[in-house]
Amino acid sequence: MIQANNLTETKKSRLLGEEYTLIRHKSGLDIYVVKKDFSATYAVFGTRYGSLDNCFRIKGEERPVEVPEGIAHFLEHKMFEMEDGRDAFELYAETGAEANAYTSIDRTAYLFSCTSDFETNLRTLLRMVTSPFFTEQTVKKEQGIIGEEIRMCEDRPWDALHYGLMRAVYKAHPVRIPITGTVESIAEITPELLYNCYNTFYNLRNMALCICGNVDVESVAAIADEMLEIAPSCEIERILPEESPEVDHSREIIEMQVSKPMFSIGVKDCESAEGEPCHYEAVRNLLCESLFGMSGDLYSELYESGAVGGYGAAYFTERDIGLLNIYGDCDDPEAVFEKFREYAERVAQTGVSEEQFIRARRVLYAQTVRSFESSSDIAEAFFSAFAAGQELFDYAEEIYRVTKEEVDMLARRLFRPERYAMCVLKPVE
Amino acid sequence: MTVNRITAAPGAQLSVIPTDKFKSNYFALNFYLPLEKQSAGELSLLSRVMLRGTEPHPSIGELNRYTDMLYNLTFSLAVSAIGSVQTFSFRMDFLGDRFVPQAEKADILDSALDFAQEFFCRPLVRDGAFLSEYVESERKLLIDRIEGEINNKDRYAMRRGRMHLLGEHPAAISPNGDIETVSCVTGAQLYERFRSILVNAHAEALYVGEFSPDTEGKLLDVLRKILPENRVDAPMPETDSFKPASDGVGEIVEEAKTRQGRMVLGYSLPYTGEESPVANAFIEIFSASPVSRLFANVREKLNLCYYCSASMDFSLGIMTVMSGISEKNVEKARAEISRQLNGMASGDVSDTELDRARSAIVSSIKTLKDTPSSLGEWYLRRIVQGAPSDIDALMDGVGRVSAEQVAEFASRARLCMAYFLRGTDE
Repeated sequence: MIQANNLTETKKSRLLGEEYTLIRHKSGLDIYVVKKDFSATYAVFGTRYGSLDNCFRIKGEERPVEVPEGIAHFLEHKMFEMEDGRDAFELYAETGAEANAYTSIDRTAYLFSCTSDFETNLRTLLRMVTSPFFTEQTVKKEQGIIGEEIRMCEDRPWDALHYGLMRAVYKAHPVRIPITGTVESIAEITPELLYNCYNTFYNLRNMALCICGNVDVESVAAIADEMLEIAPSCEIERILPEESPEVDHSREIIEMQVSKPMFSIGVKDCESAEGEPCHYEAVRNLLCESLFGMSGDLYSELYESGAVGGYGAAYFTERDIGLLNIYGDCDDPEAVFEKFREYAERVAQTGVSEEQFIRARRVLYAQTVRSFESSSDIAEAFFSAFAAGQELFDYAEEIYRVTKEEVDMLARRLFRPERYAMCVLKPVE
Repeated sequence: MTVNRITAAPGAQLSVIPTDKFKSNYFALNFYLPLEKQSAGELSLLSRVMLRGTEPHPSIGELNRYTDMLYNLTFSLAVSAIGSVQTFSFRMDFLGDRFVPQAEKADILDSALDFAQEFFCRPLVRDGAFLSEYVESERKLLIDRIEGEINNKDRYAMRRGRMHLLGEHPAAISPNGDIETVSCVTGAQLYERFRSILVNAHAEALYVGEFSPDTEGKLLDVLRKILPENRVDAPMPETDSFKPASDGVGEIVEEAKTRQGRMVLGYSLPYTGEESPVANAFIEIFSASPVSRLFANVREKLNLCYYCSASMDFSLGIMTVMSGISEKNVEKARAEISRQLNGMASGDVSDTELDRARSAIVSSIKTLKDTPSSLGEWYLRRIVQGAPSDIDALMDGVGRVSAEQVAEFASRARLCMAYFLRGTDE
């Protein structure tokens, strides 16, 4: 049912000392407004559309649509060009605003930060994202620029390592493909394909606008009323291949000009959030921090023995991707992998210690509180939560609701050899 | 913004920016000394060895467990350089006391200051030397890191380009040290260097965060315990600006196994601290945004590359222009960069460009106030550069910049060096 008026609700978090207003705009767009006394006001307007969305079916259509890899990122580049021949960057520049955009595996976002003329900049943002304009000529020009971006990324060892791991872990999932696509795949992009993707995914009902700074809710709603038309219903079936819990292959070896070997270990997690996305993410982040954080036993053991000079660890939980990832450089990746395996399987038997668990909880809690430190961090956190289907304020609370037993149970389910893979970057001879 | 500046000890100042705007607090203690090859190698290794442990927390695991229990107190000890001034910087970032969950009351500010004191006053030292086991393992890791500079092609090309541009100037020395020096430093030398900077190096401490009547006293008390009584009243070291060795343009080509080449052009661009509004306006118009000359022309109009951007090293009076670019486009890009620069130097600076630049600079200055670390780091950098740090006066200065001043500034730029890292896998 189409809603006739804007609906607003305000939510508070006592734990974080924050509050926000959600405008369920009659156009179909969700608008989050956080009023803060910062110099800069930041706005991000984005869609749940990323590099994974290469195959989809629109309601009523029988056949799925398949589009070239890298098209979401390509579309992001093209949205700054406007029909009157101007570039949106020029409009932002007139007020001194800083503007940018990004594409990830599950979202595309357009943003600006300004210290004056917020309303003018918000109109520019809404106009550029709701007025696509693509021609053969401008598409061809962008193929050259993005081709150079692709080559730049191909020179980055961490990118090579990341995509190498994705190929090892996933059998056919599009997360294996770089967000930018390839020089060959972007050569297939046409204005028609761009319009098709735009019309499918840039539906306001699939999008959110998140604003943080010295703004008031009424003026934001008034501009949205003025600029946004009511969006049609939006039902997109995203077609992704089925993935089994096992990795595709356990080792991916790549040669590159690096000074010493680099490794990236992945543990595949195919469980779904099942309606509790904040809890799901909190359990996984607590597991990762307890076991693989810098105060975890593995970090100390590997560092003190000289096996690594530090490593990073993260748990990815975007869309249907669940992956525990540990990465760094070392002399002997297989020895590091073996230490990881022994440690993980030992913890699966014994569980994490109470001390490790409490420490990890404090770390995650403090990181969450500190993520509310600037207008850009806050607005982006709201947009990430929207993309993940989460209620942002619930996450900090969930960190204290998760029990050690839940973390132990996840460790038992997760730490099995068939879920492990490693990508190694070997220095070229 | 109120900055309280207090002498903490001879040659050591404390700057305090009281604010309850943030959820975390920021503390930095920086030491400054002339950038020299031997001290760079020693300080680089020292920073790593000290992060391995203290007397009460003698391993990296114990140190991390302790600071994580303090709600993820994050700390670092790092080396860097501003012109030819070496910095040795300790930084801490920690949660404000009022955000600790009520059921878990803790005084993080007090614990953080105790930790800073422990870090400097109780290092892990045996018989006048840092622990040899840690020195050896960190030596290996530091050498790995120096060798690993090739892994990031952008940074590598920029470092090589700057090195060729600067030649014998001390700023050409890497603050991370070189393999030759790092290979033979001993734990005793490191300890001697540590004692020496505490006594002889100019120090700047900074605190940004929540403030009560006794906070300043606590900060001064900790600093006076860290800094020895026999400290020298050392001034801030000065950087000599860069002067080209010859009138020619040094052309350097090196190779790497990459898919894309990297071009670095090095210019001399003389500058004094008072001219910062003009210099900022110049760099904004020339390169800093998607409507700048380089982005609009080299990337968008001629489609020669994905990025082409300039940066100024204000301490040295140099500018570098960098681009990731195919070899076949290098000459075209160089010609366009020169065309844009010469155009600005001959007075082709429009009112629109100047207005946009003024707005962008004012906006970026105002935004500094929004995070404790950006505010703190900016403030400390201005002190080293001898540049004004009154934010309101700076914004006024930006408003007074004229097109003629920008053109005159652009006319000082002289290309001295062109470096190209050729990609053999292009």
